[in-house]
Amino acid sequence: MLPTRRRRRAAVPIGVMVIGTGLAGAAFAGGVQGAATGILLATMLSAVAIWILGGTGGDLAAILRSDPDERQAQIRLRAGAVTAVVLFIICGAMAGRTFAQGDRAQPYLDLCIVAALAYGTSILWLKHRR
Amino acid sequence: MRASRKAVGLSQGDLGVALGVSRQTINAIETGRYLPSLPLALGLARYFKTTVEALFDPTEND
Repeated sequence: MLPTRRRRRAAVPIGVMVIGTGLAGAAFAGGVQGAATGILLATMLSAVAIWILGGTGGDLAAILRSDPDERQAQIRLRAGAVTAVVLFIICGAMAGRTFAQGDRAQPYLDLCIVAALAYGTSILWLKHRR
Repeated sequence: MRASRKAVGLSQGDLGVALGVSRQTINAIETGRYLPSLPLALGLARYFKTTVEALFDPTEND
């Protein structure tokens, strides 16, 4: 078993590898071999970069190796919130564009609905937590 | 807080290790960019054998 610090450092790169490999597998199964190779390559490079950065000092390294103190955890939380807002705005804009183009399939609208439900549910859940 | 730290001859890194936070967080507290949580503020006050009010009073020059 790896020491805790090394395990924490490995957690994010492993997560990136799992998601990236899954996406690449899906692309490969869908017959898009070029995209699959690209995704796999980008995933591996990202995982290595995150692993290397996680070994350095500073706030970013602590966040990347899932070992933040309270201030770094706050930074991570805020960054996550900003990311969610940006994604929500983009999804809303893309849903509007898809409507304007007359498309019946509305994946962006579905994402907006999921985001709104997740937001509401998390508020209801988190307000009861310490 | 910087004055209290310097009075005992500690670096920001040493104090961070003693309290389980990063050097950057100690620096952010000292420069007023971050307000510590109550447990951390209490930990700092206990470490310097003083009170939270004395350590973080904005009217005092540190």
